Amino acid sequence: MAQTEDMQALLDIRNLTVNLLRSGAPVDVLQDVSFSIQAGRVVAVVGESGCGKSITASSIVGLLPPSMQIASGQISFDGEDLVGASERRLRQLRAKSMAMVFQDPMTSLNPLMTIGRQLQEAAIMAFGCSTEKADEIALSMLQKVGIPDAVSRLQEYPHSLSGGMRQRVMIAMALCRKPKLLIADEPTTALDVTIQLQILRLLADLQAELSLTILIITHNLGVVAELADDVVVMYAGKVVESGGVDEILKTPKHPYTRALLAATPRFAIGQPPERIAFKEIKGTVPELGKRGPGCRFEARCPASEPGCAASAPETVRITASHIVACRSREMLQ
Amino acid sequence: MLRPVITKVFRLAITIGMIAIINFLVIHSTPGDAVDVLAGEAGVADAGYTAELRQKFGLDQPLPVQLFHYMSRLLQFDLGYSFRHNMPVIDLIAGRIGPTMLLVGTALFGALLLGVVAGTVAASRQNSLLDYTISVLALVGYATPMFWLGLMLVVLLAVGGGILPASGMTTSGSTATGLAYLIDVLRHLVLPAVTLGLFYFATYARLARASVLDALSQDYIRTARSKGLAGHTVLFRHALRNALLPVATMFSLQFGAALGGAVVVEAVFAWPGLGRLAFEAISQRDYNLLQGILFMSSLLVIAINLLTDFLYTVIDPRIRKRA
Repeated sequence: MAQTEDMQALLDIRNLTVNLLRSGAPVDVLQDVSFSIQAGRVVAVVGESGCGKSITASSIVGLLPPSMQIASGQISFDGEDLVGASERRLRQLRAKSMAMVFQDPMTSLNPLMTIGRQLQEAAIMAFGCSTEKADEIALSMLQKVGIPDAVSRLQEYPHSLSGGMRQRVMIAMALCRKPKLLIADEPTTALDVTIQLQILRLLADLQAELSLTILIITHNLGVVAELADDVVVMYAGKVVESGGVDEILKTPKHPYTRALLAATPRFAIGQPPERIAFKEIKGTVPELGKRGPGCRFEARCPASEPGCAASAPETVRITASHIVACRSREMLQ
Repeated sequence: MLRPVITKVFRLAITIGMIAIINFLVIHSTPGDAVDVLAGEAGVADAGYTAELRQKFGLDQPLPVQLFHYMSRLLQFDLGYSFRHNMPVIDLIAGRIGPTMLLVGTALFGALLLGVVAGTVAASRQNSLLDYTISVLALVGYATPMFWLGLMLVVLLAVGGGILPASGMTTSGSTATGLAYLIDVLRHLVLPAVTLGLFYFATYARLARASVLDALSQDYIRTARSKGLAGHTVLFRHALRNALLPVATMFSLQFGAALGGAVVVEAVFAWPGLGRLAFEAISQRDYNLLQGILFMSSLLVIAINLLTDFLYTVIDPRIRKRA
């Protein structure tokens, strides 16, 4: 991911393993996840549902569900270790430095509080400022994310706003604290296609204007192409491939990445839809606790070889930024 | 702006009218009337005498005519006359409604307050020892029959320990006034209010626990946490208010049931309220009085439901918009 060793990353995740605690032996939800984000860049984490993308995000901000726990690895944010950080410190970081936008804007805002109050709350948490100052910040942020008639919107409740508008409010709420890192967990998945594009454009514009650092979680490769500088492909709790956006989209090495790309429908105006142009990936992501010692994609992999199921593939570095975990030499050509 | 109000008032009037008619019909469909009781007590079963009494009270008229008379008197706020007590029904009710409201109000609001606190604490410490303790207590309270609890409290605290009075609303023969009177009434209130309130406390504690847990699992709670808010702020500012809506609904639904429960409790503790008056009215076949009590109780329940509707609009802006 275009990283030079001497440049310190804003976020650096090393060998992160997260376990699900349950009766019997704990099961890993994430295993040995490593990637980093340089300040000012947009990193997309892609993969099917159940691959551990959202768990990765929750680990970073310290909001894992009580049933899960970081077993090993480091998360360093701006030079600070987050794995050993106190709950108090994590709360402070969430208030000031790391902000999140979630998948479903219809349910992510408190229905009994005005938009203004919810924005104000975020600003006060971030800056410890007066309510008047917080209201000012809220208003200017609401205008910045393109909400018309922002002054009167402040007095309204979430139910009177559309999904797209609510997601804009969520983005305003995230950005009003001037975070160093914005984590967007499938920010467009729950929206209409036309609105999706608007929200993506908004994120892209804001990123350029404020030189934001964004970690965006998605299973939509269109979002990746639109927004990302770097891409991390996850499968069943592991990183299978990572690299620059061109490397991943144009010269994908891992069979899973290729399968994901092949499964993306393509449309162009003026051309008939290519009916068989995209291929599904047969099967499903292996369940927790049913993941063998070998490559986790082996059962669905078109290029699997003898030995793939027995031991996990080594991580191979193809270029300075492009990394892939696959044992098939043929694939790596 | 005015139309919804008019619609509401219109609907209300129809509801009250229906209640009055149903009350009347139910009571008059039972065999026997006040004259049978009066005549029986007087030891005179002579047909001429009972016919005379029936004529005097208007009981010889056909049912629709009686209903018409009843309804037109209701419109003038005349609830009729109790021949047993030789007093207008409205005066009898006025004398008893205060103690009943005091009892039911204390029991329900106490149960609501303590139940919501207990449920919220249990939910915020889910699966802890405290949570289990509260849940078990609530389950026991839920399952305890009210009359049994009342009798046990009387045996343990009143008769056995002499700690609290078990009967009446004031110490008989007491002429205390001011603060001393207040304390006397409050001491008398404890046992009946606990007896009536325990079941409702248990209901609210269980409901509050479930709905706080539900609220805590919502997406907007994750949003609140991601703002860096502390746990108690998330709980009280974001989760609790959302969790109160079902509790408010339950409260308004149960008010009528609590009035019914008051009949038993007032009988056990000799509390001078509407419930006991109704109980006496039934055994004496005092139709006018019973009708009056049922009607007034219905009005109370309607008033509480209106109040709850109003409370909804205060709590929930989504309802405010529609109203």
